[in-house]
Formats: sequence, structure tokens, C-alpha cells
Amino acid sequence: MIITTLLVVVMIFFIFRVIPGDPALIMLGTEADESQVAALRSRLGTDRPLPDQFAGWLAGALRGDLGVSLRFNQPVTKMIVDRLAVSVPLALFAIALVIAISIPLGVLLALARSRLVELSFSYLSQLGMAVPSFWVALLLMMLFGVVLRWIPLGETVNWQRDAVASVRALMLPAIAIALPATAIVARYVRGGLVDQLRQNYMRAALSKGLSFRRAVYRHALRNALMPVTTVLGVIFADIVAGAVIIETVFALPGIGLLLVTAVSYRDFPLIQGLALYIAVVVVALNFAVDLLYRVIDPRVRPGGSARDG
Amino acid sequence: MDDVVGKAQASARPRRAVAGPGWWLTGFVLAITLWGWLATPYAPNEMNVPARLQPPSWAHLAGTDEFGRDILSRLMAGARISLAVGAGAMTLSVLSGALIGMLTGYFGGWLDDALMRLMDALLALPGIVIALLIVAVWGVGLLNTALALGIMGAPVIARVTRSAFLVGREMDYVLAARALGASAARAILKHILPNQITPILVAASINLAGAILAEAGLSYLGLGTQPPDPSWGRMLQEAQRYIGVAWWYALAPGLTITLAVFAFYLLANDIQRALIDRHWQ
Repeated sequence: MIITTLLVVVMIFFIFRVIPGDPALIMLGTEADESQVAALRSRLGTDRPLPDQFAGWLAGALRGDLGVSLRFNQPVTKMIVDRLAVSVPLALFAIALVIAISIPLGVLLALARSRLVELSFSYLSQLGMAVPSFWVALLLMMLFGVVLRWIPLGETVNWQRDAVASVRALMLPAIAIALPATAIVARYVRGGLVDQLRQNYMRAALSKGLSFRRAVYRHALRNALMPVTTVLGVIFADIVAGAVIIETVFALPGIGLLLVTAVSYRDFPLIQGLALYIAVVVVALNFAVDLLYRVIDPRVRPGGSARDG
Repeated sequence: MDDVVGKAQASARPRRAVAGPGWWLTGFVLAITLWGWLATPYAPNEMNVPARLQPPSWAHLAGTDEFGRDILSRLMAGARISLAVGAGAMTLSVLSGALIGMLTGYFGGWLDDALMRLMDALLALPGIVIALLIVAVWGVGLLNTALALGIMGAPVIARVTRSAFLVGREMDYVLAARALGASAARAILKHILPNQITPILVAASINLAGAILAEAGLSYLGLGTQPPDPSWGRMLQEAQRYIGVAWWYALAPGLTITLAVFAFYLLANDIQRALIDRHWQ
């Protein structure tokens, strides 16, 4: 995990350094004169030797100092922390929806044991994965914003203060994010549970007199949910890291929209800081899922290979 | 595992390999793309301001946009670009991913450790973020979009290939080939790859679906396909301003993206099934 993080850090740093051309030149365009370029170079620190730059950046990052955004002239760290007020509730909201729908749905479908149900779910879930979430977002906006007028579109929300308005503003984005994720997770729940129901321990549980319900919930589901945890972790990390497109559709001032803005302005310190933040979140959440695994399933020993498969 | 599957298969009547829905839908998508390449009902960029924002009619089956351009024609013309970018990205993902997967799966050791760590590092960033980073560095454009999406998809292909090769290299026929003096390259390409190709093809098809979806997403953000090339994703972005007045504008591009992505997901299913069938005949 530490090696992975280090690699990502190195990657993020060097992707902006190894490129042909000078970041200062790329940002200023061809019309900039020599003194402007030199000024930006010294501001970016690209006039110093590479190892020196890397050490400086890494030392800053460890202290929580990711530099200053060129476009907004604010500390990158502060900008990211401000945006968490949107991205974290959005992620929690969306993941709660995914769990609340996909697990019961997956269980129901696994127990249905009808060829027709199985087949139609297989197609439906793949359709759910194929639908672009930003299109779903537009359709939701049309339905709830334009036709039904339940949710005002384009209202400005004070994310730090107004909890009710925040929740209302996050509802449609959360649904749009949850739909494809639900399709994926329900597939895993169903597939996992169907496999578990065939296992010998289920036969044993039933023959010792456990009711089918109890056997499913106590034994099979617990085992079936193991791989689901991983998928949920990945999805959750993706949203906290920034639901890039959905935040753009709804103009939600979260991490994802900040990244799009940063990329559009080629604000390299901001992009780098965001990429680092995102990588750390993903790696940390993966690690948390691994820990959770050990709590759910005591058989999982540290040092086992989680990479194969 | 093989034993169980074998019994199940033996009890079933040998099935004739039929073209599943994925093949049909993919064929349909490709046919429309080809059609759109050769001819479209209207020129995709032809403006007709008096006929702006018209709802679907016989003259304009999917309606018109804010410049009076025919939406159906633009979707048909955009298909070529979406599919070309998707296919380019997939080719890059599969070539690089499979190469890494074959080397790491077959040789193992430090090479495996080093390359897979790198893949893990890539996977630590969500795909769209990697694509955005690459666009930030290289700038927008068709080729850069394909490159970005290609790099984004490589780690998954590498993992799938590696898993397949971890199994494949232990097979007796590989040992036999090696004992007869076959080189590592020959063992990899002639003996293991043909027998382990199914998961790679399935992953490639899913990768293509994902690339088309991601291209639409990047274009929606304005960081993918650029004007004047018609693009499905950007059409949705343009449609967003008119959702209050023109419901059809956002409808057709979304349906088109869904259909194309769905086709390649189903194709992945069909490839898997077809190859299992062939294997047990």
C-alpha cells in the first residue's frame, strides 16, 4: 500500500514534468514574452532542478501544503477541504441509496430462481451499466425540475449552513450516480449469493434444522457480501474522489467540478493537488475495505494476496 | 471446477453456436455507423435557423437542434467518431495491457512485482481522472482522447490477462512444449494465448463499451471531441440548455450512447458463451 501510494505520488509529479515542453509555456501559450515565462517558471518552481522540485513538493504535501492555485490564488489544500462539504455528503447519500436498493434486490433475484427472472435481470442490469449517468441526470432534471417542478433547478445553496437545501440539491445527483452503481452491485450480490447457496455448508445448516431464511441471512449472505464490500469501496472512493461528470451536470461545487475547472484552466498546481488527494482517498479506502474484510471474515489473514483475480 | 462444469455440459445437449443478441445489436450499431459515414439524411453541420428546435417529425425523425441542424444526421455522423475513438482506445488498452499481463503472468518474479505495482498505482486513480490528467497535459483532441482512454483501460486488461496466464502457464501442454525446447515467446503466443484468449476478448469488449461511455463523458465536459466534429457527448451538453423547451434534444443522443454501450456489453456476454460452447463441443 505504501509502495503504491509512493508510486502514484511520483507518477502525479512527473506527468507534468516529463512532458515535452515547459508547463509555463503550455499555460501561457505561444504569445507570452520571455519575462512572463520566467516569472511563471519561478512561481511554479520549474526553474529549479527536478529532484529539488520533487523534494519540495513532497515535503509540502506531507505538511498539508499543496501549493497555491494559479487561477484562484488560493491555497490548494483549502480549496479541496472546502469542496469536501459537497463531495462527502454526496458520496454518503449515493452509497446509502446503492446499498439500500442493490442488496435487497440482489437477494430477491438470487432467491427467485426462475430462468426468466435471471435472464431479464441479466439484460436489465447490463442496460443499467450502459446508460450514461449524466444522461440520467438530464432526464431527472427534466422530470423533477421541468415537468413536475418539485426541485428548483439552478438554485444556489450555502453548503456549510443550509442543511435542508443541501440535501434537496444532492438528491438528483445521488440518484444519477446510484443507478449504474446499483446495477453493478446487485449483479455481485446476486451472483455471490447464488454461488453460496450451492455450498455444502448451506446443506449442513439446513440439515441441522435451521430455517431457510435464517440459513440465508446468517451464513450465505454474510459470505456473499464479502466481494460486494470491495465493489462498494471502489464506488464510494470514486464518488469522494469526485463525481466529475455528475457534479458538472448539476453545477455542484464538489471535488469533481473543481478538477474539471482546473483542467480547463490548466492550473497545474491545483490539478496536481487534486490528483494527489484523489489517489490518497482511493488507496486509504481500499485499505479500509481490507481491514473491514478481516472483521467480517476472520479467515482472511494479513499478507494474503488480494491482488490475484 | 472444470469437472463440475464438464458434468453440467455433458448432461446438456450440445448447443449449436447461435449468434446472440450482442452480435445482432453490435452489427446494427456498426451498420448504422457505416451508413452514417456514407450518407446522412441531412448534412450533419447544415444549419437551418427557421427550423430550429423542431420536435421529431417525418422530416426530422429525432428533431432539430438550436441551429436547425438535423439531430439524427448528427448522431449518425457522430457514431463514426465515437466508435473510432473507442476502438482506438481499446486497441491501445489491449495491446499494452495484454503485453504486460502476459509478461507478468508468465514470468512472475520481480517483473511481475514492478509492473503490477505500476498498474495498481494507475488503478488508484479513477479512470476519468487519469483521462483528465492526460488531457490536461497533452491538450484536447481526438488522438489525445483515444490515448487517454487507452491508458485508462490498460490496467484492467493487464490484470485479466495476468490471471489467465497464471493458470495457463501451469498447464501440462505448456510444460511439454517447454520440454521440447519451445522458447518462452512461443509458449506464450502459440500455446497459452490461444487457450486463454476468452477472458481477454471479453475484457476487450467491456473495455470498448467503457471507452465509448467515457468518450461521451469527456466530450460532455468539453474536453473530448471538439467542434466541428459532431459528438454524442457534446450534443448532450448543448441539449442541457434547452431541457425546458426541447425534450427531444437530450433524448436521442442519450439513447444512442446507451444503445452503443449496451451492444458491446452484450457482445462480451456472447463471446464468453460462444467460446464456452466451442470449448465443450
